[in-house]
Amino acid sequence: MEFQYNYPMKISSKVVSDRFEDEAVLVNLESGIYCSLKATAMDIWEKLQQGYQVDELPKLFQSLSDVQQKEIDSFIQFLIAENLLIPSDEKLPQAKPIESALLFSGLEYSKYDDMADLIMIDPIHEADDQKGWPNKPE
Amino acid sequence: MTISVIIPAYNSEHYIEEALKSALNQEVDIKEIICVDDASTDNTVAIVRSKFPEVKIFKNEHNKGPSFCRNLGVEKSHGDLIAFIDSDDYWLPEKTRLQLEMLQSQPELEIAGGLTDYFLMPDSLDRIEKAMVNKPHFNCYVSAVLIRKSVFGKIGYFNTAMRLSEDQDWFLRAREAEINIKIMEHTVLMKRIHSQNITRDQTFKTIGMMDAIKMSLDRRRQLGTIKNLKPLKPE
Repeated sequence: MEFQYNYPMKISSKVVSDRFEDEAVLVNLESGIYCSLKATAMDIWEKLQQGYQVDELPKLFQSLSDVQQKEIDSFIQFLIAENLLIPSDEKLPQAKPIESALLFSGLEYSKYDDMADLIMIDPIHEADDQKGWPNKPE
Repeated sequence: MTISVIIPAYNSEHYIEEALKSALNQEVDIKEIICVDDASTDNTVAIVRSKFPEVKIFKNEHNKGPSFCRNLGVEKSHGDLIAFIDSDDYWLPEKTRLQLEMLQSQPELEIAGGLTDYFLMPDSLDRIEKAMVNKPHFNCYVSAVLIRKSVFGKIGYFNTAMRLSEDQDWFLRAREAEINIKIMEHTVLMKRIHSQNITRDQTFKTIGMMDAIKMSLDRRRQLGTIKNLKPLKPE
């Protein structure tokens, strides 16, 4: 199954993500959901962060069965549905070099919404090592 | 039930007076106020000593962060209930009275919280929070709650490895342990927003929160399955 996206996509600017040893954690600051991505889901997210387009993703794998391609497609649909991946009106980036090095090791991803209030309103109170907390504005 | 107030401070000379006055101006008696100074290099300690002789001061020799200071305050406290206040914020006078009443009338309740409202420094830059914080809300600030001291025995103290989001990490642990928390629909804390310009949507604070979320996921996985946390909604 081929991807059917005819327009460029980009990671939403409302998304913050961090990669840990065994998973990537994503937070949508606008909707308040957070996600855990593991295994191939984490790898795909990393490629998207690097600027690869959705239709380039299958080429990054050494091999993909039809079932696996469908799973990737579902994962992309999930990212779009959660507004983690959004259409981009920017000029298509220059095609990145394709190295078919990824191994499909299963897509593990979960979404949680039990911290929405916490995530969506998170005013900053930053401690500065030099100036202390709080800092008086200069 | 007696109340201990803990105020960590580091180079807080500009605002600590306002914070302490609000703690002393509460509508119920406060057993003690403990200031843990985190090796300030300004006049924080001098101000507290001269203007607030009733405040107990503990001074760190080296800067150790807010978690260490709060934890030390709890260890040094003698009250049944613990309240924290950051040195740049202030409480409304009814804060501890309302929360004390909640805890007294509901013996099973372990943490009584209220809402936070914000005020900007006069020359603070336009910040993303201004669009979001147009009404008081609860955001897991420890300065907005009153805590039974026994809670610390159940879920532990603040994570000293975290310099930011340590309060949110602590609240996540409380929610994971199903500590009985109620948030009243009443503003109790006024939080000062600073003028530091933080990159939109990508902030050190947010990154601290990512660690907190990750640790929460890992802890919940250790129980075999991740179940959603009970929501914290003001009532």
